[in-house]
Amino acid sequence: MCAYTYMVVTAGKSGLRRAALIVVSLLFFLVTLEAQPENRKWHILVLDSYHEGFAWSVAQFEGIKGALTAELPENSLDISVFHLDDRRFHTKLALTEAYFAQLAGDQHLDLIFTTDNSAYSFMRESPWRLGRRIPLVFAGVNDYISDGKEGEFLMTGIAENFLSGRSDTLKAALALLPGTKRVVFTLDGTPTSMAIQKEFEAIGDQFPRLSFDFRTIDDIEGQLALVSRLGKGDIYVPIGTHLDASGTLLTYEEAMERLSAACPVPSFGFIENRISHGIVGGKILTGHDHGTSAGKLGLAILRGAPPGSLPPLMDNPGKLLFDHRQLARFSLPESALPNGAEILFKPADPLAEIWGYLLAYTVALVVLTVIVILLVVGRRRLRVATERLARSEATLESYFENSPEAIFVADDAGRYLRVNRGASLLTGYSPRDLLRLSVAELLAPASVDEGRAHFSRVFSEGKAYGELQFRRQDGSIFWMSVHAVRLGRDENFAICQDITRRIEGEEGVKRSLIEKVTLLRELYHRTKNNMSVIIAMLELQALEQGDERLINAFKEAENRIRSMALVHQKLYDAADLSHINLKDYIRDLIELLSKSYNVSSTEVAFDTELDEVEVLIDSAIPCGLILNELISNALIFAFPEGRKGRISVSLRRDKDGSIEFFVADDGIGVPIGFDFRRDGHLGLQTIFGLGEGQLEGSVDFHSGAGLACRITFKDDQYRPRV
Amino acid sequence: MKHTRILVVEDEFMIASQLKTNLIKGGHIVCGIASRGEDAIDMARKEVPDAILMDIRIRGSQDGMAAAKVIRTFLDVPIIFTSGYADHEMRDQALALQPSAYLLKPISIAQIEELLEGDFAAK
Repeated sequence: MCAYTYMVVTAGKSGLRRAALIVVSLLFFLVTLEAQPENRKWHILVLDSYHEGFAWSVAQFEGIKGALTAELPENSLDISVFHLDDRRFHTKLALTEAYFAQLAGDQHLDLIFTTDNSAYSFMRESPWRLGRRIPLVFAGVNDYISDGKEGEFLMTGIAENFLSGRSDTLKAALALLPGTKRVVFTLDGTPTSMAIQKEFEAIGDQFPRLSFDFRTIDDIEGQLALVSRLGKGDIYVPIGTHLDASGTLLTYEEAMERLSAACPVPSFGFIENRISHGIVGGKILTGHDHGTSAGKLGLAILRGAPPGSLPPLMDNPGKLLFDHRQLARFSLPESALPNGAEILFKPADPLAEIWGYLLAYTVALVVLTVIVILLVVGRRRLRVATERLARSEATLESYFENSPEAIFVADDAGRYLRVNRGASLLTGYSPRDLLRLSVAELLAPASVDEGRAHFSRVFSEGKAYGELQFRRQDGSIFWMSVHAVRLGRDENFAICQDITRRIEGEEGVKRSLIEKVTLLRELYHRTKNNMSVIIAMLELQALEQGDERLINAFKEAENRIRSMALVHQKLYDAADLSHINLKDYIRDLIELLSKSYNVSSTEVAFDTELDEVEVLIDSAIPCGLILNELISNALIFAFPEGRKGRISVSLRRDKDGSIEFFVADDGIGVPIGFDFRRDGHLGLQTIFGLGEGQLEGSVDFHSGAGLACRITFKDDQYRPRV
Repeated sequence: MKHTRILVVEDEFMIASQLKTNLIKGGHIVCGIASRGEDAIDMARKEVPDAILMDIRIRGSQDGMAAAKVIRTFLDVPIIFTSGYADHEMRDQALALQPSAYLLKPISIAQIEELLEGDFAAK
């Protein structure tokens, strides 16, 4: 715990001295008690030039204490204060070294602060202090000039050499009052007071138009009398103390107010006690700033820095402060104040204040109005949105319920969760009954497996389409198309349509198609049979005639009919009932004609090279007839009188789609000069007629070693009919 | 193998006539022409032919295959099936009865001659 004791020492007043002695003894007793700390404790004495309660001194002390406690724990500091009371008793300063030594005794101190000149003067060369090597930090020494012996005297500190402050104050005064000629000072005869006088005298050259009038008057009545006589061209600067008639020291504040009231000219000052109490202003020093600067120096010393290593701070910047009330009193223009000046007690602009309130209220009103509008609009929008949502929900519900399609919603187990009216109408179950059923229970037995597979696809692929059989409540079976979609976990949605009629229709169409196919096939068969009957009739007719030529003519006709019948045979076999495979056809035709003309392969051999070529019935009949003529010709004419030979037959489809027959034999050929078109019999005419006329192809005969014929045509004359 | 007594079962008159003419021309004897299955069975029983040319699709309550089955029960002679249909189903049904031959119409007399003089002659 820190013990603060304020002690007043008044020389020549024994009662007070005894009291002071008792207080100091008590102080040192307390210090002794506190001198047994567990941790490091700093014992510090502040020796003040003035008296207890003197505002300047108090401010300096607070500055010192504030700087120390900013860095050190408060309970590590033991600070005691000793007042010399120089203001009131400067003429009889009684604190002698011997007396101080007696008061202090052998008490240990780590550091001594002095505030202002008297305390510094006393302590600078104190043998008691120097003998104990106690460092000293002074604060606020006016007229301080460093002699370079700070180290020797174990001290450092902050001077109150306020030279710049003094001149700044005078400059400001001249700016405000250009007609100033004389500056009247009141001094009190203290060292501080005298030091300040010296400072002004030192800067006198800067103000050649000004005269300085220093008056040493420390009683207030004398000071009042002086200032009341001041007139135009004068300004007043109070320095030093003010005593009343009984010798009691007045506070700066009280004295300044009285002096200002009595003084007809503006007053200026330097210390904070006077600003706000009657002076116009000036470059103002604060005791707290002084104390803070001194406290920081002391802190460095406590931390081990030798005092001599810390050069004294020689000046203090201060602040330009002015009192609006005094400026107004003397009609001094604010615009003349130096830059950076602060004006105290400046009333706020009432209109600006009103405007401020008005603006604030207006803004608040606008904000509130906007909020109310937003709330109203928001509420209306919410209501509209809610109504719209409700209508939308009702509409969707209506769509769901009135959909002509049956709609089912089922969980993952297939149990129905929701159904619409369409579902009820389609199945014959009431909605309530349907919700007790599952998909599997509604499926017809024939579709159960397919239904399971469909449901699995919905799970795996997210959707599926199926056509399944279901069973109504009355047991009847019907078909439904099921468009199912997986909505989410345990929710599957299906739109279903009754497709029973369509399915039945499709089955009817299928049956009808099968019937038609059967009929067409039968027709091909019948056609072929009828041709067989025609052949039989021709053959019987020929046999009855007995004429060899007639028999041969009939035979040729028979073979032509057979070649056509073979087309129908192939159509009957064809998968699509409209195309025949020419390769197969040619092979069968060769066999048929060989039998017809009773030619064995040992007599006439066939070489075939046949591509897979399919043609429509329209091309197949002329193709068959042409091939019949070409092969028959070769068999009848090329190898007379048992001559042996070969007949080559090739069939090819070119890249451009054209089809080429090539039939050649190595038989006897045709007589020289034979004209195929002019001299040919019916068979050759048939070939030209069908090849060039009907198929719109080319017919090219070549006779050399045997006979060759090439027929080329495009199978693009006809289009499939189905 | 001349003078083979052949029963022709064919419901198409002109075809039957053609076959008969050609068979006779080839030196064979056509012992009867039946156009219905049941007639074929009766004639086979009465005439006891050496061979039967049996059209598969004929009129009557029994088709060629049914008639052949019955005839087999009392007469062991070559039966040559003939048919205007090339579809596999019918051919497979017919071959299941193990006929002596299966000829697709139009049938040439040479084919019949070949069978009569070749395979069947050996029996």
